[in-house]
Amino acid sequence: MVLMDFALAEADPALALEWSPDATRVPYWLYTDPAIFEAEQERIFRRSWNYVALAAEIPEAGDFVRTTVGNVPVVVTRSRAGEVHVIVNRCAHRGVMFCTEPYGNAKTFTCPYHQWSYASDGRLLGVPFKKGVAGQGGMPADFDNSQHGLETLAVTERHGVIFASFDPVAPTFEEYLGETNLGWFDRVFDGRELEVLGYQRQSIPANWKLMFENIKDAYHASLLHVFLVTFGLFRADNPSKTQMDATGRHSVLVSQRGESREAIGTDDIKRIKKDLTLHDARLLDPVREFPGAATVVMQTIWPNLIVQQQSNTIAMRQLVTRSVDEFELHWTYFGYADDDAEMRLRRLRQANLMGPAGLVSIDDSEVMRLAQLGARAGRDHDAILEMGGAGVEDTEHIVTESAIRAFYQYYREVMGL
Amino acid sequence: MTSAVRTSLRRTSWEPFDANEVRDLYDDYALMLDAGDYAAWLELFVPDASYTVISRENVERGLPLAVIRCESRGMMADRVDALESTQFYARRFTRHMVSALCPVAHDAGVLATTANFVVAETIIDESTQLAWAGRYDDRIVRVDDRLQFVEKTAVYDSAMVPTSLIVPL
Repeated sequence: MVLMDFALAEADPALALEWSPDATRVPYWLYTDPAIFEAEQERIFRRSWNYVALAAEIPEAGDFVRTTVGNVPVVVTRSRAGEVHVIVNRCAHRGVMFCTEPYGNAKTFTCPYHQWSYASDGRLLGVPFKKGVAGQGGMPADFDNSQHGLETLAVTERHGVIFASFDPVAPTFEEYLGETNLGWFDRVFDGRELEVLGYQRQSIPANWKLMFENIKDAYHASLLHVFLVTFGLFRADNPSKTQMDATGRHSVLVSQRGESREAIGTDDIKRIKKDLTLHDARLLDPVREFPGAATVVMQTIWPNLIVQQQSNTIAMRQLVTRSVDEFELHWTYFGYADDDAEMRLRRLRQANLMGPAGLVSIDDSEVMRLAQLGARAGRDHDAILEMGGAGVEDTEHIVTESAIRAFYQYYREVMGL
Repeated sequence: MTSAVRTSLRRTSWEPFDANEVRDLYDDYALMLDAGDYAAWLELFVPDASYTVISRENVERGLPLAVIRCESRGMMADRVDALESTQFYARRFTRHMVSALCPVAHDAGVLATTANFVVAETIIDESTQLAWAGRYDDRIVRVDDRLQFVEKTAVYDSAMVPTSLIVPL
């Protein structure tokens, strides 16, 4: 039993927040308590490898993109020497978020307020009036630029994907991901050059964990997403599995398209439309492009990344945490530099399924909003995660919530809850 | 697809189109969408029309990804089917406001127009939000006795979509 919200607990022990040791229970205050959100920033987002960008977004020396680690604004830069750096977008002087362009190319960054300037690796290059003006003022003689650079993050890159960590002693990314999940990662990122097709961004009035859980939640996909079920893209009777890393923080949900329209397990779906057909078949014209039988692999990489491969639509879904009841989802869709025109067009068409206007993913953004509304009113209640039992093991089916249980087992460990 | 977005905006004459008739087409567009009459909305497009909703961010970066990409009225009808039968979303109401409608080019009987839009959205239980603002870059033809869109591109200004885009822009 863990007590949170000490002030309330002191005032009235009945108001103490508790989390049962039962792995099948998740208390709703995890989604609503601002103190939990602050603790997550410190214990999760500042101590993990966070996805920040694709190398293909900053191919040239001087290129940069602006992004966020947890709730901290950062800039991902490529130096003149070609090295990737991740610098906090907060001037060392007065805290101004100095970089406001979402992307660009710059030799140096200059804060608009007092024009302190920085190199792409965060070194402080110049302080105007440092030696005073006409003998007046100036910084102290011992003011050392080298001690006042921008905060920087450790950076790692694997097959064109860039991650950053505030933790200087982070494990290697390969150790961090674990063998099984690294294998699935390398299936999409096989070393081929990537081509960015574009971005989509949406703000969702819900706690960030609901999004992470959603992709680990195999149970919902074949029920909520009637479009997927109707066209056989994801169904409870299709061969499927979930695989976790040793800690339970990362996981994949793997499945393959069904060949027939008639299927078992669809009678429970209220909105199912068995007679629905497409007016324009080009909307859904998937071709096999990866080795193996899987046609959909959704991977969650702790703490802020979902790698989406559904048929031929491939995207990074980056979670940006804004507050305890709001997060943003930043989608970066991509293909491979060696895609032919037909494949590129196919990816752009299949993108209709995903994103803020997605034929499938709208279901999720809408449900997460409602989940947050329900959680607000359920301070002393728990969610039930008993589908597939109480275990956290890999499964060869999707009628389970084991990946969510595994996620919370690890979450409790790092949060000390 | 991004080539459909115009970079130069100069007014040209309405002739041989009738300005009032073009304005009626835009008014019908807004009315049909806001009434949820998607069948009538689809009829405002020719069968091989394209309808695209894309962020200003992607247009500026020269990236082709849209949030809605329909390459035919059939593909639009597939979206309508999803809206009306397979998708889950909270009930909501929209008001499309179109202004600054301007003819910008004529090409072989096709009129190119541009216009501003704002869309107010009211999700059930919530107050009304001004959810989207942006610009239409469209192409219009006369088919028999009425005008129809052959191409409609809605470029929305804020990269950030509030929760979900349900009713088309």
